[in-house]
Amino acid sequence: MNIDKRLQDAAAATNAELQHEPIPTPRRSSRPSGFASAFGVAALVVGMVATAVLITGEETSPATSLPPATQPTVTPSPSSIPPSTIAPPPTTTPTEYVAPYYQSWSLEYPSTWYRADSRFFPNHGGESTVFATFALDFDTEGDYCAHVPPNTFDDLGQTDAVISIQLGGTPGPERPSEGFNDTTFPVLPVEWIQFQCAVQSEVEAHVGSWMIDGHPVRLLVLFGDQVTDERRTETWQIVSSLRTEPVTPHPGRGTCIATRPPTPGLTPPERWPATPSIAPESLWYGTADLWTVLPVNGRYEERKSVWWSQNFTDAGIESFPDIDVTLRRTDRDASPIVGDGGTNASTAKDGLFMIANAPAQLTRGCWSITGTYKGATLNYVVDVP
Amino acid sequence: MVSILATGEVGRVEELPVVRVVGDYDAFYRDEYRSVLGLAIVLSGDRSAAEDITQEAFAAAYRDWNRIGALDQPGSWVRRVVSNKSVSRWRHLRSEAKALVRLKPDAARSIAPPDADAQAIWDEVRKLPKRQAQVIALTYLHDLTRAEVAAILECGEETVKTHLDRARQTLANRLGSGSDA
Repeated sequence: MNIDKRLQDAAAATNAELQHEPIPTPRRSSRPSGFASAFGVAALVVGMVATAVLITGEETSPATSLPPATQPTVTPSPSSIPPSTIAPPPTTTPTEYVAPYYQSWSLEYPSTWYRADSRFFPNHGGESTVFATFALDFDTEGDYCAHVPPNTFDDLGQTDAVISIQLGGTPGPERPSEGFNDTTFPVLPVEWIQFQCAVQSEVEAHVGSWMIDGHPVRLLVLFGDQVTDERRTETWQIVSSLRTEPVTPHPGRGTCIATRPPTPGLTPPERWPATPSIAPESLWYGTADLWTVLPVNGRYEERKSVWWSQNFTDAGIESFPDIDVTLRRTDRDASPIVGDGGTNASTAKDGLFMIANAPAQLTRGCWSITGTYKGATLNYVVDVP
Repeated sequence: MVSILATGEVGRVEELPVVRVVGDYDAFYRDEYRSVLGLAIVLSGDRSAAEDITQEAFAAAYRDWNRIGALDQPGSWVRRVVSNKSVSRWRHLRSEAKALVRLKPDAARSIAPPDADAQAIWDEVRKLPKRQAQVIALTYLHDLTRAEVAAILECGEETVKTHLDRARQTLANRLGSGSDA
């Protein structure tokens, strides 16, 4: 049975069950802020206890404003908490963090904060890193809102804070000379972020683009609705420590040699044109099994990750081609960006091709880009100014 | 819809087109409740949470009924709110479950809709990216056209088609069914 029929059957079964559903009296007003279902309350308490454990190293009482849970509570005793979830006692020495990815930035943060281990790729292809004071894991799957997974908003405790940092994007105003604070950083209307991000809790969200050391930086700062003045101050101090260059330059810096396509360029199979039209003053580069388009002068041009192959000729059969692209920084230590899969595309002049799931906009530096499709591999280097 | 995802800038929520006549809230509630509840159940995977989300959405519509009731399709507004909150609820439950398992391994609860076959399908739908799950639920459960789904989710019809194709392909792979997408 095909998936369309199975979905129709599942929908029919669900709708049939709903026909017998009694319609309750409509609720005319919203429940008080902070209300959750019985299970939600219990879980929220657990989350808050865990948060407190991780922040302070000792268990504290849950918020007293929450209604009592009617289901058996799952709040753990201190002894039931696995030792691995308890953070070491905080120290007063700030930790310097240098982004290990392709972005070049660093900052200092107290050890009472933690950095998300996972990397996030919002819609615009850039990578963001999140610092937070709360304990629950980030959900890295699926959708994002304001650069972070939606559950980040929902899991935010009342006294917690989150900072999301991302280089690139729309240039904004220069960083204030006296650093960031509540008065210089725009605040989103709470109704807006609750609606757009389906946030259920009270969150104070600051979002904006700024110029820091000449680089555009996107910043998101979240506060729970009972955050202390001390934590606010601490949060803005962390943001103010942001620098857009690592402290120690990589030895490979300044030695980038971008790939230039040989002249004449590759002549692809007959169904494709001898020279590309998709980009001016560019040539085909690669082999008939896998090729791309590169500027003749080797200068970096921002574009989507586009690839052609004589083995990719039918988008109907292969709507989402299995093209994998890996991007590595060669001028600094950094984790590679691995793009998995792609989609089909075509133009009248350049024929059928693939667009890989990889960032279209790269940050400054030397990049080695490797594409793999049906056993064929192609590599080239770009120097992003 | 203006989004900070694309630009990093703060936008405004666009108003939906308004007509003059404000409909009867009680009739609207009676006509739409079961259908909207079904959407919440499918997308949240949690019966009690779905009832709560549905009631919250209708209560929000009631509070602003002079505006919502004057919309061409007030049901679309409620479905948008419910589909967003339900997906968030599902992710929140998964997050809670992870925390509970970490703190007390037997404390996580199961989510069990009544129909087993439908459950298997909807379980996989909930694992899809948010937009894909919403598109599948609205298309199949409510039998809506691409244009209608696009209006609810405030996106283009082509975007709906892309999400639908990808979701069908993923579901076919995971459930071992053929895809005619």
